[in-house]
Amino acid sequence: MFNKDIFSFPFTLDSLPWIMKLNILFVIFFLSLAVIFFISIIWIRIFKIYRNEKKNKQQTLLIEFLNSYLFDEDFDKELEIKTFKENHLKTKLEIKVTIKEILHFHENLKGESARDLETLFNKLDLVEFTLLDLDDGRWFTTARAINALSELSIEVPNDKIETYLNESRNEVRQQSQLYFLKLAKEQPLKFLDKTVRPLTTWQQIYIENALKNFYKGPAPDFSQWLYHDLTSVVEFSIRMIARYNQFENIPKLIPFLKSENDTLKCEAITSLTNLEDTGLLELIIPNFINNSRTIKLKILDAVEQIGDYEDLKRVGEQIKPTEWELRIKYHNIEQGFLPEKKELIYSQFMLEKRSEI
Amino acid sequence: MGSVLSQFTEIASWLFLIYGSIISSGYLFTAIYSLIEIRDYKRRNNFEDDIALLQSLNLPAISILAPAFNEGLNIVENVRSLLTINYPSFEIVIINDGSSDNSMELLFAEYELEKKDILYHNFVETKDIKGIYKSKNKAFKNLTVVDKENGGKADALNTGINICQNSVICCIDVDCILENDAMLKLIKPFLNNGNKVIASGGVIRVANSCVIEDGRIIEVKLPDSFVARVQVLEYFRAFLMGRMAWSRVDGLLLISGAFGMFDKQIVIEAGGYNTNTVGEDMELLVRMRRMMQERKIPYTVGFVPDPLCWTEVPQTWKVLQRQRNRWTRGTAETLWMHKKMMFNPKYKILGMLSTPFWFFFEWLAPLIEFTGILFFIILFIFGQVSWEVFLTFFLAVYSFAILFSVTALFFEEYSFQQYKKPSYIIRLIGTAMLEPIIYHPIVMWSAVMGNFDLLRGKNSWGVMSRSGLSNPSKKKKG
Amino acid sequence: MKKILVIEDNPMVIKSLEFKLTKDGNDVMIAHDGREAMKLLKDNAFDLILTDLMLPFVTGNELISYIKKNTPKTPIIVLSTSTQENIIMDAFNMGVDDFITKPFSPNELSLRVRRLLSKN
Repeated sequence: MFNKDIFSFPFTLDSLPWIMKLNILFVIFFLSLAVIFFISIIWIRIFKIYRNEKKNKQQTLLIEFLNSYLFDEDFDKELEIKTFKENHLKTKLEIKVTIKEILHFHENLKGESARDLETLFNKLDLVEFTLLDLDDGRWFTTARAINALSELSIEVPNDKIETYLNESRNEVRQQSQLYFLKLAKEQPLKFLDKTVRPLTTWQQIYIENALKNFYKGPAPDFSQWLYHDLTSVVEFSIRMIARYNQFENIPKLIPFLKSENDTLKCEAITSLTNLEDTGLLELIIPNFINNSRTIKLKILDAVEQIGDYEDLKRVGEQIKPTEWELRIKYHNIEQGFLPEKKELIYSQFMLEKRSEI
Repeated sequence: MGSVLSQFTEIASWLFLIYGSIISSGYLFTAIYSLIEIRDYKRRNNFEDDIALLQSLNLPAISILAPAFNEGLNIVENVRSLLTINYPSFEIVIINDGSSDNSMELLFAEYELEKKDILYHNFVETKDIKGIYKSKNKAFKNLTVVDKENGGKADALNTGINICQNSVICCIDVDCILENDAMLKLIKPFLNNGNKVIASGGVIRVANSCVIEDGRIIEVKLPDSFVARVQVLEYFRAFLMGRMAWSRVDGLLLISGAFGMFDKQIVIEAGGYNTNTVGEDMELLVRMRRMMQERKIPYTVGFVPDPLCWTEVPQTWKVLQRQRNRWTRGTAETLWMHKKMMFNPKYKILGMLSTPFWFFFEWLAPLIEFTGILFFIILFIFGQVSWEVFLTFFLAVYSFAILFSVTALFFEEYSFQQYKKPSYIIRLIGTAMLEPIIYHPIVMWSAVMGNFDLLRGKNSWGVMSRSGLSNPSKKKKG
Repeated sequence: MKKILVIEDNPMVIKSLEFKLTKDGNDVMIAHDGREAMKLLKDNAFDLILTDLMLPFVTGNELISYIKKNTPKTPIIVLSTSTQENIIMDAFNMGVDDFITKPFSPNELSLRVRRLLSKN
C-alpha cells in the first residue's frame, strides 16, 4: 500500500516537491514559535514566582510596620522609619509595593490615621519616586503617579498635572481631574473650565466621591457650569445641585425642563424632585403625553416622590393603553398611595390585561 | 483517469492550502489584537478604588436572571452565593422553568417564600407563569422566584425580563459560580464609554475539579478528566484570544448564555430571546446589534477578560458531542437568520468581518476538514496518496495546532495565571499535544453531525427538540 | 477583657482592626466570611460584634438577623462601604447598634466600641 518513495529517505531538501518544502518550512516555523512561547511561559512563571515571593515578604513586613506605626504608642517612629528606609526600600519592587500598600491603607482609613500615613509617605522619601514616575512618559505610569499624589494630597506645581487634563487616555484624564479636586482648598471643580472631553458616568462617580469625601472647603456653586459646552458636565452639575441641596439654583434648573436633550431633561426632573420643588409637577404633568418613554418614567418617579394621588390620576389620563411599562409603574405607585386597595388594584389590572389580550 | 485525478488533486491541494493560510493569518491577527487588548486592560485596571464605586448612587441597579430546570441538587447554595455578590443594588430573579424535581420546595423552605401579587406585562411572549414569590425574611428581600410552565432556557429568560425591576439585566446559568466582584467588573463598560453600551460579556472558565464550597471557588485546579482539560485550552483560545480580539475591533457576535449583561430596553425592543433556536445567546446579540445598526444609533458591546464566571463543562465524550452538535446548529441557525448581514457594508465590521469569519471559519471549517478527509480517503482508495506529502502536510497542521494552544497558554500566563501549580503547565502542554489527535476529530465529527441533524430537521425548524436546562452542557464558546 | 468578633473580608482592614482593638485591651477573634462567623458564633459568646455587610457565603443582613435571634443583647456595629440611606436604615431596623462607613477612622471606631461595651 505504501508508496515506495517513502523508503528512499533521506533525500536532500532540493529534491522534494515544492509543496513538501513549503510544509516543512511551516513545521519549522510553527514549532520554533511554539518553543519560543513555551520558554516565555516558563520564564514568566519563574519570574512571577520570584516576584510574588518578594512582594509577599514586603507586604507582610509592611502590614506589621504600618499597624505599629499607626496604632502602637510605644513604637519609636523616627528610628523605625530610618531602619525601614535603609533596609527595605532598596529595590524598585520594594518601593512599588510600599507605595501601593500605603495607598491601600489610606483608602480604607480616615482621620488622624490617614494624616499619619501621609506624613509617613513623605518621611520615607516616596514622593521623589512618585515624581520620577510622573515624568516617566508611559501613560499608565503617569496615571498611577498622579493617583498616588492626589490620594495622599501631595502638591506639585499645577502645570505639571494640567497638561494631562485633556490627555487622549481616559484614565490619565480621570486621575488628573481627581488630583485637582482632592488638593483644592476652594473651587474644587475649576478644572471643568479647562475640560474639553466628555465626562463618562464612571468619571462622574469618582468626581462626586472625591468631592464628598476628600474636599473640605465650601461647596462650589454648581450653576456656573450649567452652560458648559459639554453635555456631560451640564448633566453632572444639574445632579450636584440637588445632591448639595442648592435650593437657590432651582430657577436656573427650570429651563432644562424644556431641553431638547433627554439626558438633561431627565436629570433636571430628578434634581428638582430631590429638591422637592413644589412647582415642578405643574410644569411637567400637563405636558406628560408629549415626552419620550424615559422622560415619562421619570415624571412618574417625580409624582411618586413629591406628588399625591390626584397628580397621579392626571398623569394616568395621559397614558395610552399600549404603554404597558408606564401602566405597571402607574399601578405600582397607586398601590403605594392606596395601600388598603392594593389587592383591588392588582385584580383590576389582571382583569384589564386579560380583556385586552 | 490518472491525469484527471492528479489535476484534481493539484487544485484541491491549492484550495486547502489557501484556506489554511487564510485561517492561520486570521488567527495570527487575532492573537496580536488580543495581546494588545489584554495588555491595555491590565494597565487600565492597575489602580482601582472600589469604595468610591460601592458608595455611588449612580451605579445602575442590576437584575440578575437565572433560569433553573431541575437544579434541586445545588439550587439552595447557588442562590445563597448569588445573594452575597458584592454590588450595592441588585435583585435576583430565579426562574423555575417547570422543574419536575423538588427545586421549588427547597427554595420555599430555605428562603421562607410567600406568593406575591406582582404586576407585570409580557413585553416578550412567554409560557404561563404559575406564581411569583418573595421572601418573608428581610435578609432575602432582593430575591424573587418565578415558577412557570416549562418552555426552555430562552423562554425562562424572557419571563425574567418581563418581571424584573431594573433596567440592566445580567443573564446567568444558576449553576455557574461567579466571582465576588463579577457585577462591578461587568458594569464598568456600561459606565465608562462615550457610546451607548447595549451589552457586556465576560470570560467563562472551567470549574471541573476545582474545590467549590457553598457556591464559591476555594481553589482552582486543573480538571482531572482529559475531555475537560482540553476545554480549559479551548476556553483560553476562545476567550483570551478570540473574543478579546473581536472586542478590540468591536465585532463581538456572541456573549455566552452563561454570563452576560444587557440593556433591558434594547433586549425588549429587539424582541427578547428567540425560543426557536438552540443558539439563543448568539442570536440575541446579533439581533440587538443588527437593530442598533439599522437604526443608525452609535453603540458598542463591552467585554471583560477577568475570570469572573466558572462553569462545569462536559466530562464525557457523549455529553460533549451533544453540546458541540448543538453549538453548530445554533451557529448555523443564527447565521441563516441573519444572512442579510453577511458581506453587507451597511453593517460595517459585523457585515464585512464578523459574520463572514463565523461563516467561513467557525461554521465551515469542520465541513472543509471533513471534506479533506473524504478527499484523502478517495485518493487512498485509488492508490494516489503521496505519503510524504501527506506526512509533511499533517505535521504542518499539527504544529500549527500546538502553536495555537501554546500561544493561548502564554496569554493566560501573561494575564491572569489562574493555574498556579507549575505541574499544571506541563499537563496542559501535554494536553495540547494530544488534542489534535484524540479530541479534535470527535469535535469535528459532532459539528458535521450537527449540520446533518439540522438539514434532517429542517421541516421542524421551530420545534427542534430541546435538550433542556438539565443538560450540563449548555455553555458556549466562540 | 472583652471578647470581640470581627467579621470582615478585606485582609488589610482585618489586620488594622485586630491590631487596634487588641491594643485597646480586647480579646479579638476574626471571621473572614459569613460561614466562619456562624461557626464562631455557635461556640463562643461575644461582648460585641463588628461586621461588614457584603460578605462571602452569608449576607451581612442574614448574619445580623441570626445574631439578633440567638443573642439579642450582643451589640452589633456595622462597618461597611455603603453610604446609601436605605441600606443604613435597613441595618438599624434590624437592630444594629451603630453604623460606621469605610473609609473609617480607627480612633473613632475604638471610641464607639468602648462606649458600647461600657453600656452593657
